[in-house]
Amino acid sequence: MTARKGKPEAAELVKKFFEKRYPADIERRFHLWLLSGENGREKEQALESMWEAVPYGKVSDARSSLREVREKLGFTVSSRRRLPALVLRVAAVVIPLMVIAAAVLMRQQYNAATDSQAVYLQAYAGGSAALPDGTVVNVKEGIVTYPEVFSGDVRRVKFEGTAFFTVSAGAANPFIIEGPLVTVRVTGTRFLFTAAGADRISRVSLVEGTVDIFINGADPVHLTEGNQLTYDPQTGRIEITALPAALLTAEGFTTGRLNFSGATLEEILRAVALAHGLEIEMEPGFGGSKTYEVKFTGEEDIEQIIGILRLLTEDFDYQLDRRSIYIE
Amino acid sequence: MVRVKNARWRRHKLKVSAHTVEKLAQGDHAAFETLFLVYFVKVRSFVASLVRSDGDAEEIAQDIFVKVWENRRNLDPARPIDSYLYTSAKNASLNFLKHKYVHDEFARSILADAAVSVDGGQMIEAQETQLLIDMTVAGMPEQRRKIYRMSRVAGKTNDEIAMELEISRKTVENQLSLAIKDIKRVLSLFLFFLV
Repeated sequence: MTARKGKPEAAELVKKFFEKRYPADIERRFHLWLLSGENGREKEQALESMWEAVPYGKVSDARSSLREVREKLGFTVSSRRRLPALVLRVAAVVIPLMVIAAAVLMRQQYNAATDSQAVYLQAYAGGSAALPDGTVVNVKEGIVTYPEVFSGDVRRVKFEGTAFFTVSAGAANPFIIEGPLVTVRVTGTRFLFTAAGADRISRVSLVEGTVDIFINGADPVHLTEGNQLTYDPQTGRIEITALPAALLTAEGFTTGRLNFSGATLEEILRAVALAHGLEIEMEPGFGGSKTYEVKFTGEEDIEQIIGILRLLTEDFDYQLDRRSIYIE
Repeated sequence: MVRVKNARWRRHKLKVSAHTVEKLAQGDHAAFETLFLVYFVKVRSFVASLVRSDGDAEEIAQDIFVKVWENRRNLDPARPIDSYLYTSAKNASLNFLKHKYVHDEFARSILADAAVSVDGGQMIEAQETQLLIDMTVAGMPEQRRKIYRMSRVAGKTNDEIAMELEISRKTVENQLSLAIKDIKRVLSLFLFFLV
């Protein structure tokens, strides 16, 4: 047997180890190899790759561990009331509220007037939940906190992030979604709601019906179907524009299935950003007047979509962070 | 019209924001619980994959988050919390393993030799190679693994293996060929010419 010598890769060892279980002696040898000082940089890179490959897992799988850790840390359930800075009153159909928000903090607050022992559940990014009244929430980003049982006359949830709500009808029992700045009050509709803090833009995108929007106690702004309202708390500016054609149904928001026909690159990018709860910075008229027909199946994430658009149109530069797309 | 299929692009996924970390650093329980619910399973799975004990991984992962809370004032919202948790999980796992093997005489000798060996580089290389081969063999289907070991470890001929396992010589040859392909594939720059 002859061999031409090369250097086995530490990455391959780490990857194989993570893939399956081995007999005890092999696992021991791997551990000793890992603990030895050689090839430290390669081992570090390999371990970091494995970390990125490990999935996040379900929130429900962490709950019992959280209870144990809360006990270790001496946490107790407390009652706290949050005062929303802005109240929205919806007359008929709830407006999809799109606020570009990167925050996923959901402050859990318990109404002192209700049962302080109530169980609160959460749905977070990438998941959907059926609330106790049948309302369905598709969470794009952030966390929705809701009671296990709605008690009283009002259905109330807490929210910060971006989610599509399909609120079950109930004119006698308004559905209230409390965000950091905006509280949406609805009686039954379908809408996208992104709730952000004071340093970010709030947006209401109305797919159907009408709504009255109250901002900082001012007179309500009446928004009609097919339009969107943007509120920048830093400038105080309120703007109303038409919704992109591709987002005139709930499907674009909930499933990511977007059909563009005769749309310019700028229109496509703006609609895609809206559907994903992102702000977009782009020169007006970007991409020119050439139009495209594009259909996204909903299986793509935002980076895949941008990559596809770059291939189809022109190879533009872009940057992407948790809140925004920057087109160059 | 273009129908889009899945492509290999990096996923854009943000789980916990700087705002949450900032709140956590200020002592917000809800922020801590958000971080916990988002990351705990990932941390535990990563640790378990390394230390190979679910019970120990649970304990280690919980301790990591207890320390996150206890050191919350030192958290920097500008730094990705993902990296912080990865470093914590990796270090906790390695520390656990070091303690586990502290009473292992052979282990101490290996670790000591690795530090002082004159030809330490080549020795570690050989250890890595052999470990990689052994892991590859351990991962083979049972019959293939058995045939490979009978051939390469016990030194039996293909005819002897065929007779002992009551299979055809052709099967032995095929399985050996597949075993060697498996091994070649993982040893990226190694070429074995088996005679």
